[in-house]
Amino acid sequence: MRDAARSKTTWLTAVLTAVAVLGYVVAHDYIGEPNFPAFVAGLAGVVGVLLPAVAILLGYKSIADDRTSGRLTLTLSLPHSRRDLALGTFLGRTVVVLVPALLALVVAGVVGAVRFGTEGVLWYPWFLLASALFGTAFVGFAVGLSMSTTADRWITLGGLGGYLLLVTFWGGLQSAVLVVLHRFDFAVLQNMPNWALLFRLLEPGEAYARLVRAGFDVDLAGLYVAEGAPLYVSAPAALVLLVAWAVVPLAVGYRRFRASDL
Amino acid sequence: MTAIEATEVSKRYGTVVALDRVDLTVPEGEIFGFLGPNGAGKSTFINVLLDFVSPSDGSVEIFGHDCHAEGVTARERIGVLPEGYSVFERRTGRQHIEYAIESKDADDDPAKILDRVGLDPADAEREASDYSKGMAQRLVLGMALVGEPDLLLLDEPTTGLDPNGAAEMRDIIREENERGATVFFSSHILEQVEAVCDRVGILQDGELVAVDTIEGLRESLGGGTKLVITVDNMENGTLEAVRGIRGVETAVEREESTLEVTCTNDAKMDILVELHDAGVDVVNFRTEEASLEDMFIEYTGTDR
Repeated sequence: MRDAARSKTTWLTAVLTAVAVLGYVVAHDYIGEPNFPAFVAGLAGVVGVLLPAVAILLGYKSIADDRTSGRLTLTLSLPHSRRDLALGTFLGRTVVVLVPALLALVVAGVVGAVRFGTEGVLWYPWFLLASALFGTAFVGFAVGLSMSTTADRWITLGGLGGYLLLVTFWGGLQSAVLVVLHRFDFAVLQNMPNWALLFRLLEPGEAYARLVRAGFDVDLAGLYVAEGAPLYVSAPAALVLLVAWAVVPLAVGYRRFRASDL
Repeated sequence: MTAIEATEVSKRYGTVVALDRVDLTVPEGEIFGFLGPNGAGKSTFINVLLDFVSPSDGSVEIFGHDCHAEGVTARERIGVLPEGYSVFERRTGRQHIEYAIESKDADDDPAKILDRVGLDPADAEREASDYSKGMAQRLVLGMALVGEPDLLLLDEPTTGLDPNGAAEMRDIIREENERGATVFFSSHILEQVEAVCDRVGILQDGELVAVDTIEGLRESLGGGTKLVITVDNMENGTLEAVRGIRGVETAVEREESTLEVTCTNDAKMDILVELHDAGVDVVNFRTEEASLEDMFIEYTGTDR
């Protein structure tokens, strides 16, 4: 972790995060409605695209790089277990991803409240928590990926593919599957069956939006709060899904890492 | 108490056998040299001890702790100079030692350790990633010395060191052994091992082909002698002819027109006669006591 804090990439991504978040504060003047919930919704949109990229960038090579370079040999010659190493890396990377992001969001929140009013401002800590969990989910994914293989191309492919699938294409993919299953009756997209809602909520970004929605009555994740939406797309379900996104890839990656020869 | 206890350790990578049923016991307090040509499986064995590699069969224990099941406990008592490591980026030499002290819960003085392995205070404050191979080797040896380990595990410790550095390395090995530590180190360079080891094991193609003291190995040569013969010109088949003589153990062509032959005392004259009969003129010859190197060649069948 100390290493991560010293690396140039870390600082670069921290600056990037700050610029993007604080830049949005300025941009919201032009593109959003001047009230606080709308501001938070816009901010969530920025976080939803930015934080996964930062988390994957800082995490996807963490253990694999140390392993191929031989730094891991030195670490594990000392009385450290692979489990401690995996957990330490995960925690360390989580901190370097979240600290700059949360600092920037706190500043943005204060400025936002001053400029756009304080409606719903008491829920802002909830928004920070949801953002932190969202970022953690992607750190878990990235570090898990980093433990699962040492082949550079698989790691790069996994990192890039993970981002594209989980952030960019999931919604489209879900819609496509749904439309095919309903024999190209496009009307189904306007009125999704309940199982399809869960399938869509599996996307970390959607789960995150659902959590933000729990605090702010904004135009995010409206699908899941429609009348008659089932329990498994409620905010607690979204919470569970995000935790699973952090833990499951980490556990799978660790199992592979533990069983393999260095 | 035994420091290292290996029972029928095998490691296979697909169809390649890296270690073949290695049985080895190293008692506490010994300096054990692990010899073998490159690729014989020395590092694989050490990596099994460190739980970097899981054996396909068999088990290894360090001070009674299974290296796989209780890896952390096993590693608490050892100091390691591994192979194929690289130092941490953006950390000074001193910080490396401090990291080892912290990890082993020891209370050493980093300055003393750095001084002992020959890194001066100016080097200690530099980033270790700028070190030469030899300096990095000294640094990691320093990390291994932290916390007065009961067992030192050194994989090719003299790699990257000049002859002076190698001599200092041997001094440190002796000092550590006098303090009470068991030392297990691998090498493909025989002089290193010959000079300090109580016992040696010779590994070839994953098999432990001999374990003995140096005197023991020498005796098993049958009071052997080495004959260094300079001839006017070598002819094809001369080497084979010499090897065919009774009492000859090894015959190697060293340089252009120099033969080195290890043999029993009685065979010396036969060799000269054989060369004469083959029409090879002997320009010069001398005898030497067989060194470990000759044994090494005999055991492993490799000419370096």
